[in-house]
Amino acid sequence: MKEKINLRQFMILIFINLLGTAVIFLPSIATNFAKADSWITMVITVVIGCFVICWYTTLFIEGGKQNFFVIIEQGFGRKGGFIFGFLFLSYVFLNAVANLITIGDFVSVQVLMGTPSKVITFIVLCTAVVGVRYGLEVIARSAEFFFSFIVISIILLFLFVSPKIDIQNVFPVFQMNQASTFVGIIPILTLTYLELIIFLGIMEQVSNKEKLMRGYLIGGIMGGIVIFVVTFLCICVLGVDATIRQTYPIYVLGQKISLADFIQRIEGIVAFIWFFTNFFKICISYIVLAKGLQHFFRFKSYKIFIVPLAFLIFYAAYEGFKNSYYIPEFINSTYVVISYIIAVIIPLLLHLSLIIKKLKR
Amino acid sequence: MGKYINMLYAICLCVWLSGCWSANELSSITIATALGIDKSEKGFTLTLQVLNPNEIAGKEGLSSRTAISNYTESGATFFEAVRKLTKVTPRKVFLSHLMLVAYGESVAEEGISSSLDFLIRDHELRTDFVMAIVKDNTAGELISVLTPLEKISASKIYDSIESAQDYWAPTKKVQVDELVNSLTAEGKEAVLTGIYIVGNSEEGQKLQSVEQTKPLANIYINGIGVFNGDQLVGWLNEEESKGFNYITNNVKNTVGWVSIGNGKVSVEVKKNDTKIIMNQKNDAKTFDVVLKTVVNIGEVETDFMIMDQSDVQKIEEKVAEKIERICQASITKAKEYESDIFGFGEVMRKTSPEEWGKVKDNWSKQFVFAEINVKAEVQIDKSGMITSPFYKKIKEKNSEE
Repeated sequence: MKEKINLRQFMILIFINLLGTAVIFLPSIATNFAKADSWITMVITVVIGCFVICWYTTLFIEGGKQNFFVIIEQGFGRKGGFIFGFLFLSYVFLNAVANLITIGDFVSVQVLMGTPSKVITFIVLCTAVVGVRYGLEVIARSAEFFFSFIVISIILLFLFVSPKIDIQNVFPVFQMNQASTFVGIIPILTLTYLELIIFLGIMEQVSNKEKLMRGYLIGGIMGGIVIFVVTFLCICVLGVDATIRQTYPIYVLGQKISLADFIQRIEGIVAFIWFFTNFFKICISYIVLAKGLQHFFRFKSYKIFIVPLAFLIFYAAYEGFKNSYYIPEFINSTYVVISYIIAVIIPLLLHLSLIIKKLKR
Repeated sequence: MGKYINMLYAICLCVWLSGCWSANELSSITIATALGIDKSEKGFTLTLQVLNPNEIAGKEGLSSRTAISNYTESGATFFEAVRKLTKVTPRKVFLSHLMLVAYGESVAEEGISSSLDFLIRDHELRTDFVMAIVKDNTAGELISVLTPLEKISASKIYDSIESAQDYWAPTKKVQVDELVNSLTAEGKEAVLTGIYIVGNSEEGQKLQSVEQTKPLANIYINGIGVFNGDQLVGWLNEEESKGFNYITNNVKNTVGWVSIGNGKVSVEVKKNDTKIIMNQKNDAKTFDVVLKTVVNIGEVETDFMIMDQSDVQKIEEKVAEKIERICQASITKAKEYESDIFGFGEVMRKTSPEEWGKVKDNWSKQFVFAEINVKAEVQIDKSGMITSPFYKKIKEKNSEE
């Protein structure tokens, strides 16, 4: 029996995946490029992101609404499909590892000081193993359950921090750094909408495929709006310099909350938002990874791959984290190149070859 | 079988429920409330004020010990000095509840940037403590002074700075993130509130000092220290500090007086809103500081009778004039120090970035020649519970007799 998720769950997963790493890193990265105009960068990114989403959906429909790995084999043939499929899987693997590293770093820097990040990584991975063993349906349902908590936390953060807004901080609007406002889109897109390519791996399991594009877009836009507001708040409340300086500006944003000297020190809600979104992100990457291996090695069940993969992912996360400075460095250099190869060039080639094959027929 | 594996999972996960990895029980830490930073030949001398929990929370067995104790240690770097303090403190120092970081005047004159990194970077420190400069004395001496009413002097200083800012206006509550922001911002210089000891600082450290109605030493908060870069260059006096807060729109409530007739009228500022606008005519750039202030009549000790609107207007004009004067005094002083503490440069950067690009490299020199106009608009709102003052009647009766 094939596991199915409904459109609402799919939409929620998209929303959660967009927030995952993005909400915690993007304010710094965007502001580093565009200074006070980084919110403009965000708006443009969301618009471009919508096009990316539409394109991915069209690619999926063009490929006959099947498993993404079947589509890859259709487009590139058996051998080509194997090579490109593995390139794609390596990207998914990198994503799972990178998210695991960041969750470990964040929690050990900001929340549980003194706890080695390895331990946190290990616990999160253990939980993910349990989740992935239960399958996509359970993950989607629990995401649906936590969705309301995540949204409430986000709204609380916005509400509580809004009295501290100093609108002066966004001025001058679009006078300096015009070029870098646009340059900033390149790395930001990789962290947000290009990562959604991973969802091609589970798209065939959505029960209502006719409205797929709509769900995909709504999730994408909702996530985009949240990221935009977070960036805007970071600039307005913390100021440009502090947003660039801080490792995790959104957490400092949470620390700023102080209503009537009573509601304060509740930065935990930020950690809550991020912990859950990132956990589901890891789960999705993990499950797509296992399913890809299942397809290429023609196994009956993907569950056999779960535990060995956990060892690989944990080891990669263990070795991959050099020091705190490595994460932003990686995001701004290597990751950009890898992302554009996997999430733009390969799908583009795939799309072309699918169209050519259709025309030939 | 699967049931047992799941149970095993559940048991394994229980291991992590035991709690925090690096848990510190309350009985194994010393809670620090204030940190005084002075300079030494090696680097920093830190004075740490820690709580003596028994004296604060204990109901029985209150001894005659003080509620706070101080430890001093020096080190080459800030972090080293903090850690070296464990040599003298009985337990590990816990910095999360820090309320005050005070710099000695000599450190501030040399530059404070080297100590700031730790204050922002370290995870144990929150950003909600206030920062201040100790005038004349060292920071160590200041946080050793015992205060009446509040057993913890850091808490007294914290509250005083806050209430003085909110009700009297010549101080400014500066927290570490704001300080760093203004130290790094283009076109704006930093300020810190001043604290000083009045009385005998040595005697003020003894418990006898607070056992009498008039303590032997008292802590006062007044005036604002002006920075240029990260170095303290001078002080604004009380009036100039108030002017500074007027210009930077930081006045929440204050009291001022104007002389009118043969005496004075005091007004209470209820609301103030300041805008700084940059005007550009050809090459000449001028700044307009526009203040909109709402005041209440607080006290009338003059024979001037407020009969109709024209009298009200007369007072309004006088008050406006006075506000303009203290603002200008504050600007003149800042120009003397070549330090743009008000952020006129920032206004320029925000309104015309191109112009700012031309002057930003020597803004502190350019600032001295900037033309700044202050325009205050005062509106009298309420008059308290008396509309017609009785001062005149008493005076008339006096002269009759």
